[in-house]
Amino acid sequence: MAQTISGHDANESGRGPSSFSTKYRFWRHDTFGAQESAAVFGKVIFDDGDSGHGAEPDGNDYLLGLAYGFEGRKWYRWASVRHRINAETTTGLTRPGVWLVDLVGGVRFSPTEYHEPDWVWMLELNGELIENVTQSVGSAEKQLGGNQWFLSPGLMWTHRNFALKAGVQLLVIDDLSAGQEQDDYRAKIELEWHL
Amino acid sequence: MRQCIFMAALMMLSFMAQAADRHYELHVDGMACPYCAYGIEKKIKALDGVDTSSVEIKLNDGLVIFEADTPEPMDQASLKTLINDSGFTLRQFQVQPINPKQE
Repeated sequence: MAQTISGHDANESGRGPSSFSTKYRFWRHDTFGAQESAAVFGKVIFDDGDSGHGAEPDGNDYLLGLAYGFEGRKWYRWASVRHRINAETTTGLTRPGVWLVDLVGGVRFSPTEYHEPDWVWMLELNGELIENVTQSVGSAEKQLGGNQWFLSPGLMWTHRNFALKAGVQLLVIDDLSAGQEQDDYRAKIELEWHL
Repeated sequence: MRQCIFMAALMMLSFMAQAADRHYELHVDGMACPYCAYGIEKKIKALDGVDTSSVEIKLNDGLVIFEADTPEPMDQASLKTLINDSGFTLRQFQVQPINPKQE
């Protein structure tokens, strides 16, 4: 279960769309207290989120990706690249695809034991590279595309089979084509229960 | 007579209390976080004969410890498969009888 809140201004926050994802780990290397792995990733994003960010999708969006991760008793590092394929809008306009790049470093300051609460603090650099697309509405044209980069501190708190992941994305670089809305910040909370 | 019955009952209870007859110690690679290791606990507890209260995971030592009572000792190959299915690697396996006189 995840909730995403985006901040544009006080009138434009809302609930993001629900999604379904799967991951297949095709490589793994285990050592004492550490694990490295690589995985492919797939996701379907349904068109059921709140409106208010411009064009509404007419159909599902899809995400495909490749990720690498190292998890140790103290240090974490992840890297991933994903490509989002977006559906057209309800008015037939093209929504540009997006390349997503993520670099993550994390640290567990105190390597706790199995039955103790566990705290992993993370800092991410998230890039969103939006394809350049021209949308034509009648005689008017709108240019979409450009890049956004976010710096994202976060926390992963777990206790045995329960996890809480929380983080905030702060926009640090904005190179979007003129007239596009940008996100000042995004906050996300995820709860997971491993049955 | 009452004393004999009492002693017999005590001996039976003593026998029942020794249900777990082997102690297993697994050295597991890849256990970096508690949330990840939960899968091992779940699979070990689901094995026939395992004393679920004895299952212990020591992350900082890379150890999974448990006790079980089975007709034959659990073999390394099956435990290696179980650990691999949980997403980790079994590096070393040790089994010891809890009560050597019963072997």
